[in-house]
Formats: sequence, structure tokens, C-alpha cells
Amino acid sequence: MSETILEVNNIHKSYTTGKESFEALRGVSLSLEQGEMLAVMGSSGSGKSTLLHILGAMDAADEGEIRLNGELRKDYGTEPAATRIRAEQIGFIFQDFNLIQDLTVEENVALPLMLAGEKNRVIWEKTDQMLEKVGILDKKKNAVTELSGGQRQRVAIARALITEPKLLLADEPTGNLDYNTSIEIMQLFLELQQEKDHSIIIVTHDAMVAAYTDRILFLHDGLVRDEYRCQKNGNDMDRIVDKFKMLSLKKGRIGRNV
Amino acid sequence: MRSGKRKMFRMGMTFLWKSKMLTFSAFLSIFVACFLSISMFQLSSNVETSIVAGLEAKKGVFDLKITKDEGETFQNEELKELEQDKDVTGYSIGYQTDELSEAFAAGVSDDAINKSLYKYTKDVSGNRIVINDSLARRDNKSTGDSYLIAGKKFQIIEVIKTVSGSDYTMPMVVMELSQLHQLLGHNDPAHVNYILLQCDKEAFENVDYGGGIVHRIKKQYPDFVVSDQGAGEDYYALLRNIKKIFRIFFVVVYMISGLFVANIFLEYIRKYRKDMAVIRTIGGTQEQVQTIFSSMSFVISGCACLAGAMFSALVSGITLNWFNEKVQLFEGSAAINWKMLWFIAVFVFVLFNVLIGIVFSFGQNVLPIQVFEETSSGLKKSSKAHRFQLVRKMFGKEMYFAMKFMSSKLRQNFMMIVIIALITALAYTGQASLKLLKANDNWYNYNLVQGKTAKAEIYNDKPMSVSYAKKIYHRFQPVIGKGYMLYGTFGLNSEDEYDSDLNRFKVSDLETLPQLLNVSIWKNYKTVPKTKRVVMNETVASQCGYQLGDKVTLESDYFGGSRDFVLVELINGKTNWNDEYNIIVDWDNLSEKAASEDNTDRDYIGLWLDGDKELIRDKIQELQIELGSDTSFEWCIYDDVMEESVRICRQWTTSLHVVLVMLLIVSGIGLLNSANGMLLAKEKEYRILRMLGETKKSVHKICWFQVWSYMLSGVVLGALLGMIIVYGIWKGNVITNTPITVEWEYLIGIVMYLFGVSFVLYPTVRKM
Repeated sequence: MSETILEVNNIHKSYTTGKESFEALRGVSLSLEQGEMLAVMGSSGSGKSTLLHILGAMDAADEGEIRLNGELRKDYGTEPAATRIRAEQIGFIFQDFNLIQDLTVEENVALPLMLAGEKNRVIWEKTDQMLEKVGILDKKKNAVTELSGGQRQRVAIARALITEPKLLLADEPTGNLDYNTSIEIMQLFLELQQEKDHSIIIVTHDAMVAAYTDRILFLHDGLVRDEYRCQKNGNDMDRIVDKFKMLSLKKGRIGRNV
Repeated sequence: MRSGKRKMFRMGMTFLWKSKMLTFSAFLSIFVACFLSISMFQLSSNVETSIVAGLEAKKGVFDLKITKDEGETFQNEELKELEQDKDVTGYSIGYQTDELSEAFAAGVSDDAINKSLYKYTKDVSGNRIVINDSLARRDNKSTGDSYLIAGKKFQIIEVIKTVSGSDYTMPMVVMELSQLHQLLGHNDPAHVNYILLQCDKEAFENVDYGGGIVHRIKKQYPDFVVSDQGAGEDYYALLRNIKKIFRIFFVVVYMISGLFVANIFLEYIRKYRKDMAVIRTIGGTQEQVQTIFSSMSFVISGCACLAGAMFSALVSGITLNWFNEKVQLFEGSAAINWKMLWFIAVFVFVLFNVLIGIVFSFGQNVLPIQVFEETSSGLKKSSKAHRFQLVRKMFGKEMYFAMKFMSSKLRQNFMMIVIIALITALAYTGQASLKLLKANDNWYNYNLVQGKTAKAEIYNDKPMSVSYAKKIYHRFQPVIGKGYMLYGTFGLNSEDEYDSDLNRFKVSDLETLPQLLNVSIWKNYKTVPKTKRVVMNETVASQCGYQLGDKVTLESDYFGGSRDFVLVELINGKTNWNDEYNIIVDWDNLSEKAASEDNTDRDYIGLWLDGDKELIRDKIQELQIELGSDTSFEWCIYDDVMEESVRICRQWTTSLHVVLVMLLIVSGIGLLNSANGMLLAKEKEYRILRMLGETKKSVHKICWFQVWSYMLSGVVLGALLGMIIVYGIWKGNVITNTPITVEWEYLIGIVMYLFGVSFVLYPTVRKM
């Protein structure tokens, strides 16, 4: 039985803007096994990005528990613990890549190791390895502005992986990419999952992307409404689209959490 | 850990390199601040040294001058005691007299101390004498000429230039003491009436507790008049004012440069905000982010301060000397204080790093979620945007769009607007203040002489008779022109003995009415005999209910009772010295008997002269000799006073202009950078407008309106601030008779400069 890497219980999160209060997450629970790729799907405003930010220790939940590697972390989203968690345990990939424009490709990838104070020899060795893995070693001296969207996302993935995090979080990683490039990126994720046993959570609204994952959670209105385990039989996308359509039809009471 | 810091440092250098324009602006700003501070300091140091040297030269190398009451001479024992006093380190003697008909004479023991008193350099001995320029001019003499005094021939070896404010402006000769005594027929060659002493510095301590040499001498010799030649309150006040003014310049330079630098570093933070968030996301700590930006500030300010110091070291001497040629703030060549040069450079370095550190601690304290929230959907804070519909109606769509685009970036650009405002305020305040001070000074000087060529006033303890006053008047008749004379201050038998306005009067020859500034003359005054004419101050006349042509009854023992007059002239109340012109009657009203009584009413004669200034100067100096040193005789020639006033004004104006030019250059670059950034930030919006059918010309118009509104808002704010400051500082304080008006030409000048500079943005605007 695979080890449970991540356990999330009853996460609540609200935002207040002016006089209005908005509850983004209303008691979300989930778990993630070692080597599992989980997709979180939902329409805009469903709370999926909020969930990812909380899991990525960029924001703190109002209520609920998060266990990472079996360890309950009460200070998961609060500084300075959050910084340490982000540095050591989590790799984050963004929709718009968020690379540092003034640095080269290899400098961007090496950045987390530089921040961790690693020795130069180790940094550049690992950087080269990571760049080779994502297939852009030949571009290492280029400025990031010279790369295509797909190449930039590869750089972002390399950066996210270089510290060998337990958990990889990707927020709409193919959101700014065309169809073919999206497939390439998802293939890469699959390779990483299979070769390195990485545990990955991908937030997406794209059924094609979700079909690459092992399991999909459907989020709506701050709650997990449904779940689907991919069969990998070619019908997953259709089933996912159906379930996604059903999301918008669900009303009323709080749905089942998984 | 150390290698981690090195990497952060390298990242900081990368950021600096990639933002060249910003980096250059920050560098230039700190460089100018450093250079200006060092230059200001060197300038003030040189000015201070020059003033001290000047005062020292003026004062002389002695500390005490001792005379006796009534100009009596000292006893030998007294001389010996003073010479041997324990606190006395130097001693000199002399004899001053006006007994010689040719000139005021000083017989001296010929030493450095006496030389410093009279400012001559060559040795006087035997028949060698030194004369001053007043005497030289009067008798048409120069160095090498012979000069006859009391029948004896002397050789002129030096002509001393009369220093402004000197006690020896009358024609004067300096000779050996024994020579003077021979001429005067004195038997005792040690006949001296003044002593000059040099003392230990410690001799002047504990003055308040009864200690000190001055106190001791006064106690031992109550009839001695001891005059401390120390710098005095005026000198310290002058130094304080100069230091204060330069300190204000320092503060202003630092403030503007500091704001500018803060703004630039806020630009850095804005530019790299997302990158900072990314670094924090991938595990970077706040300290690591701080290290990146601290290294940027360290390197920029270090390089800028080093460059500023080295540039100052190379050119300070040259620039200060060049500057001094224009404004003559100090004597001689500039001396550079090297220790302070480097100290100021280090101080500026530390100051800016602290400032930037504060800016960073506020600006970079960003959590990743705060940055990503701005870009993620559904979580943005709602803020009501201003519609600016009125702008669209009144000024058209281009101004409307310009306002909309500018308002969204207002917070970011606010500091730059503040900088423009401060520079505008400084320029306006400085220029307007100088103009007001100059105008006020001109008004003051003009009023002093009532628009005439010169003014002279005699104050005599011994009463001067009417006939004497008339004699003086006739003596100056050839140069009085449209001038006039006032004599005495006589008492009226007023009902209200406490109202000083109504119980005194002066006299003059009212054959011709005094032609002061701002007078009203009764058209029929010629029908009134001169002895019946009375001139009054407008305020006094109004108090008593008199108008021109009215009968005025005055009672005085000097008239022998009550007498009627006709008010023929009113003097406008805006003249400074109201009480001089309260009431003036013709001097023929005075009975000689009453006027000849021994009282202090007749202690004043004032002359306002309007003619050739050199002739006036000669006549005045003649009179000065005759009056001697017992009578207080003050005089000034308008042109002389104005020359000094113009010189001082030019100094300050040039200093202000230099500071403003430096600040305008620095701020111009920053302004352009900021305006450029403001335009580029809205490039996407301009493209959308074009895509929706807006013409290129219209889009360019929007760009220009945006830039000019941004600049104008700073100018308007600064102008308001400047006007408030000028009004607040000067109203009722020093500037009493000069109206404080809005100086539109300065504001227009600043606006023209900014508009001119803005055209550098043409390439950017063209791209839109």
C-alpha cells in the first residue's frame, strides 16, 4: 500500500473585501498517496486555486488540518514555517511560469538551490541534470524571454523539481499553452511520476489534462462535490466532461467529501 | 551560508544591470547629493573662514582697547601696570587727536598691533607717514608725495584703503608717536590716550562670575573705558545665519535627493515585486530578498558616493574658485578640507543606505499570496474607479483617457509628483524671497535717504544753536539740491503729555518744502508765509482731524506761547521714521533765546543731500574732521549702500541658481524615467484604443496629456506650497513695505523647463 503523502481535513477559508465576506473553501478534505497524480477540477471561483495556495503554504487556512508526510503542521501556512515548507517540501508550477526575466534558464532552475545555500558544484550539477530531464539543456545559457511557452514551462518544472520536493503542485500548468505543447507537458509530468514517484496535484479546468491523472476531484462552491478515478481506457475524457457538466447542476446541500 | 549571500549579491547586481535607466537615475541622484553636500560644505567652510579672517583683519590682532573718559591721557604707572599684567601677552600705545587742522592724526608706537588697528603695512618712522584714501582723495595725494603738516614736510609711504564700517573714514594720517607730540608741542613723549592689549584666551573666562581681565581692569580703574574687541554678537549672529542658510541648503538637497532615491527604489520594488514573490514561493526567506536589495543599494550608493567624493576632490577647488569669481563670497582661493570631504561622502553613503533600507522594509515585505492575489481571478479587492465624466465633457476624450490612465498609477507616481512639487516650491520660494528681500532692501535704502543722494546725521551731547544749524545748512547749500535739513527735537505744550506724537516738533527752512517721498502739498501753500507753514505726518494730522489748508494751533515755549500755522504738507505714513516728520515748522519761529538754552532738544541735525555724490562726500568728510570724535556723525551715500546690497544679492541669487540647476538636472532625468515608465505601463491600453479605431494622433495626444498633467500637478502643488511658504515667512517679518505678489514669471519658467524636458519622451510617444 502506498504511503499517504498528504492528508487534508476540513479546510475552511474566507476572504473579506470591504463589507463583504466570501467563503472560498467550506470544509475541503482530500488525501494524496505517494506517486499519485491528482487533478482538482472546478469552474472559476470554485476555490481550486485557493486550495492550491493553501497546500503550497502560500496562504493559511482559517480552519482544518494538513498533514504532510504524516506530520500534522499547525503552522503550515504561517511564517516562518511556511517558507521552510516551501523550500524543502513543495515544488510549485504556475500557469504563467513566473520565471525571473533577468536571469538565464540555468539561473532560474538553480535558484532554489542558491537560496538553500548549496555549493556551486552541486548546484550546477543538479541544474544540468534537471535541464536534461526536461529536455532543454541546450538552452541553459539563454534568457528566458527567448523561449517559447512550452520551453518556459519546462524551465518552471525543472525549477520546481530541483530540490526533490515531496509534493509537486501545478496551477493550470497548460493554461497558457497550445494543445500540442500541453500534451508534451503532461507527458513530462507522467514521466516524472513514473520515474521518480513524484506526488503531484494539478489544478485544471481542462478535461484533457485531467485525463492524464490518476484521480480527479471536482470542486464546486468551496466543497468537493465528486470524484473520479481514471480508467485509462480512452473514455476518461468523456466521463470527466460529463461529471464537470453535472457540477454546475448541483445545488443545495453540501456534497460528499473524499 | 556565505556562498548563499554571495549569490544573492550577484542576483542584486543582475537586477541592477538589467534596469540600467533606473540604476543610472539612482546613481546620479546620490552622486549629485554627495557632490552638492561636499561642495556646500567646502563653500560654507571657506565663507566662514573668510568672514572670520575678515573680522579678524577688521578687528585687529589685539583683544582690548583701553581709553579714558574725555580722551584723557594715561599716567606712566597706569601704563606700566597694564603692560606687566599677568594676562597680557602683547602691548601697544598711541595718541589720537583732531587738534591738527589738516587731518585727524594718530601717533603710534610702530608695531604689528597698531598696524592691525589702522590697516597699514609699512613702518612709519621719522618723517614717514601713512594716510588714508579719504585724505588722499581730498588733497589729491598718493604714495611717494610729500605732505605738509603744521609746517613740517612728511613723506607719504602708503595710502590705506578705508574699509567699509571702519571707524576711520575721515581724512586721517598715521605717524610715529614722537613726531606727533613734536607737532603738538607735547613735552611728555609718552603722552598716550589709548592702549592696545593682547591677552591670554583664559583671561576672558569666568566673566560671569567676576573673573577675567576686563572685570579686573574696570574694577581697578573705574575711569578706564575698556572695549573688548572680541567678535561680538553681530559676528556670531552673522556666522549663525550663514551656517543656517547652508544647513537649509543641505537639508533641501538631501530631502529632494532622498525622495528621489526612495522613489527610484520603490520603482525597483514595483518592478521586481513578482520576482520577489516567486523567490519567496520557492523557499527564499525575507532576509534573502532583503539581501538582494540591500546589495543593490550598497553598490549604487557606494559607487555614487565614491564617484561624488572623487569628483569633488578633483574639481572642488576649480569649481569653487570659478563660482567665487562670480559671487565673491570669500576672499582668496578656495581651501579644501579633505577630512570633511571623505566624512561627508561616508555620511551620505550611510544616510542613503538607511533610507533605502527603510523603503525596502516597507516595500518588499510581500507575501507571495499578496502578489498572486492581484493576478488571480475572483479575489481582487474592489475599488471604485473615478469616472472623470466631467473631464470628458470639458476637455474632451483625450484628457479623459489621460486622467483615467494616470489615476490608476497615481499612488506609484505620487512621490515623483511630490519631488516636482518640492523643487518647484524651492525654486519659487528662493527666487521670490530673494526678489522680496532685494525690493525691501531697495525700499529701505531708498527711504533711508528719502530718494536723495546721501544722508548725514549729527548727534551731539552738547546742544547746537539755531545759528550753528543754519551755518551747516548754508555750507551744504551747493549740494542740497532737492534735499532738506531737519534740526532739533523741540517740545510742544501738548494737552496730552504722554502722546509723544503731539508734543514734539522739528524745524527746517520751509522756504522750500521738504521733498520727501510720498507727500501731499497744498496747492496754495505759496500764499502762506514760510513762518506760518507747518508740515505734518499724515497719521498725526488725521488723529487731530487736520487736512491740508487747515489752521493748526501749536503752543510751545520755543514760540513764546501759542502760534497759528497752516498745514501745507502731509507726509505719507508709510515712511519708516514717522516721528521725525510728525510736525515740522520753520526755524524762524524759534526765538534764539529759547533755542539757545542749554538743553538736549538741540542735539540733532539731519541733512538729506541731492547732488554730485563725490562733492557731497568731500563736504561730509570735511565736516567730520571738524566735528571730531566726540560727536556722533553718521552718514551714507545711496550708491555705496546699493553697491553692497547688489553684491550680496548677486551672491545669493547665484548660489540658489547653482543648487537649482543641479536639482533640476537630477530630477529631470528621474522625471523622464518615471514618465516614460508611466507611458510604457499603459502600452497595452493604447494598443487596444488603436484597435478600437482611435487614430494615432489622438493616442499621442492622450500620451502628452498624461505626461503634462503629471508634471503640472507637481508644479501646481509646488507653486501653492511656495506661495504659502513665502507669505508665511515674510509677511510682517522683515518685508514690511513690499507687497508679496505671485511671481508668475518663475512659475512659467519652471513649467517651460518641464515642458521642454518632456519632449525627450517623443520617441516613446511615437511608438504608441
